This record gives sequence, C-alpha cells and structure tokens, in this order.
Amino acid sequence: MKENSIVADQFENAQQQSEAAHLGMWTFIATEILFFGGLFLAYIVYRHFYFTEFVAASKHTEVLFGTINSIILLTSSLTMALAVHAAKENYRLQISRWLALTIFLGLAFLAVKGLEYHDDIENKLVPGAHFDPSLPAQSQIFFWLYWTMTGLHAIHVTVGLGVLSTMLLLARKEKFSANYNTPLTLAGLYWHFVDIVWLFLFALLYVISRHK
Amino acid sequence: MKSHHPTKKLFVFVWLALVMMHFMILGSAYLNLGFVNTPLILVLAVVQMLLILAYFMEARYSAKLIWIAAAAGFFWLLIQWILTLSDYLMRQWH
Repeated sequence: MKENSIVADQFENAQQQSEAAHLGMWTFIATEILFFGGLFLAYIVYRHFYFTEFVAASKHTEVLFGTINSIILLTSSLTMALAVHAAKENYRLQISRWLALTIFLGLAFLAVKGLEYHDDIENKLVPGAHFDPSLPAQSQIFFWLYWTMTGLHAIHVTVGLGVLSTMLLLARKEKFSANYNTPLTLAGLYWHFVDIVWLFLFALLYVISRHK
Repeated sequence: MKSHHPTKKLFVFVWLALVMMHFMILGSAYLNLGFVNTPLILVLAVVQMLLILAYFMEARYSAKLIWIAAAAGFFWLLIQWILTLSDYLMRQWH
C-alpha cells in the first residue's frame, strides 16, 4: 500500500474503498437530483397554468449575465476535470493550479450573479409589495421560482467553493496522486453536478420563452 | 475501475462542444421556430448534461454499480414528475 492510501478496516483494499466512496457520492447526487427536481416540477406545473404570465416574466431575466455565467461554469467544469486528470497522471503541481483556477471561476460566477441580483432588485423583480406593477400578478410566481432556484444553486456553488478550497489545501500538501485521489474526484462530481443544474436553470429561466 | 480515463484533449473537445451548444441554445431563443423552440432548447440542454455526465463525471468509464446509482436518481425523478403531472395536467377545469 502506498502512502496516503490508508485502507479502513471494513474494506478489502483501496479499490473497494474508492468504489464505496464513489457509490456514496452518486447516491448523494441522486438525492440532489430529486431536491432540484421538485423545484423544476413546480416550474413545469406553474408554467402550464400561467403560461402567458411566465412568458412575460421570463423576458425580464438578464440573458447577458446568464450567458457569461454559463460560460464561466462550463469552463470551471473543464478546469475541474483537468485537476482530477492531473492527479490521475501524477502531475502533482498541476492539480493545485487547475483547482485554483476552478475556485477563481466559481467566485467569478458568484460575483456576476451578485451584479445580476442587484439589477433584478433595481428592476423591481422581487415578488411582493414592490413588484413591478407593469407585469401580470402571477408572473411573481415565475420570479419566486427564479430567486429560489438560482439562490439554492448559488448556495451549492458556495458549498462547492468550500469543498474545493479544502481540496486545494490537501493538494498543496501533496495528498493526491495517481494512487490516491478519491476526495478530489468526488469533489469534482459535485462541482459538475452543480454545473448541470445551471444548464437547466439557464434554459428555463433565461431563454425558453424569449422568442415569443 | 482504473481501466482508462479520458485524455486532456477529449476534455477540451467536450468543453468546446458544450460552449457551442450553449450558443446554439442562445441563438435559437431569438429565432421564431414555432413549436420547435422549446423542444430544441430542452434537447440541447439534455445533450449538454449527458456530455458532462459521460466525460467530465466519467460515468462512461465507471463501474456498472455507479451506472445504476446514477440512473436511479433519474428514475425517481421520473416517478416524482409523472405522478405529480398526472394530476395537475389533467385538471381540465383550470
């Protein structure tokens, strides 16, 4: 057994341990699919009932911010995949570099989202007493979903940044190698999942009704 | 599990495909394609998801058990959606 690949008592070997950890992470991701799935379901139901209101509301989200953030997150998925790749190829120095870049992109995503939220508040798109009176009342349901879904997604990005920062510290201590990279790989799975959620948020909140 | 994993070049290629599809989604949003708009955007987003699952998340190179765990998430999602929508979408009086 190599250094850093300590096998816990309940496992036969390092491979079994790693497979168990992967299974746990994918099971967690399955619960996350259902977590966001409930909100996407709410979107489908309300869009079905209040179609014209949803179309009117969705033209008020800011496509430019959405596009910038999509490119940022897709690129951060690439840099994350490259960090894991570097570990598997034993390029230890590169792991930290790709991780640092991924963290930077995650922070950039949150910064852009913050600017967008600022504009949304200025444009009176927060449901409630001060909601834009020129929009139909039920379009507040769209914006309730917009704030909830993008807000929960941003929390996931923030948690991801915490996880990735921990991975960066471990990588700098040379904890990861071709023989042992399970925590890094699992952190990557989470980060990619968060990216996937954003793809659908962008599709449903920013572009799907824009042509109408 | 350690059979083989994607190369750096493949990752960059997947990223390029993802970005290209993003701009296809964005572009199509400004064209009036009638009933095609909505399914086109959703299909492109699903393809993007599958690319990320298969390559960035390396599902393609993972053990069968992982496939089952990943598929289970989507299967339960399907149950959640079908059961709920079978009620809401059939409320004709709405």
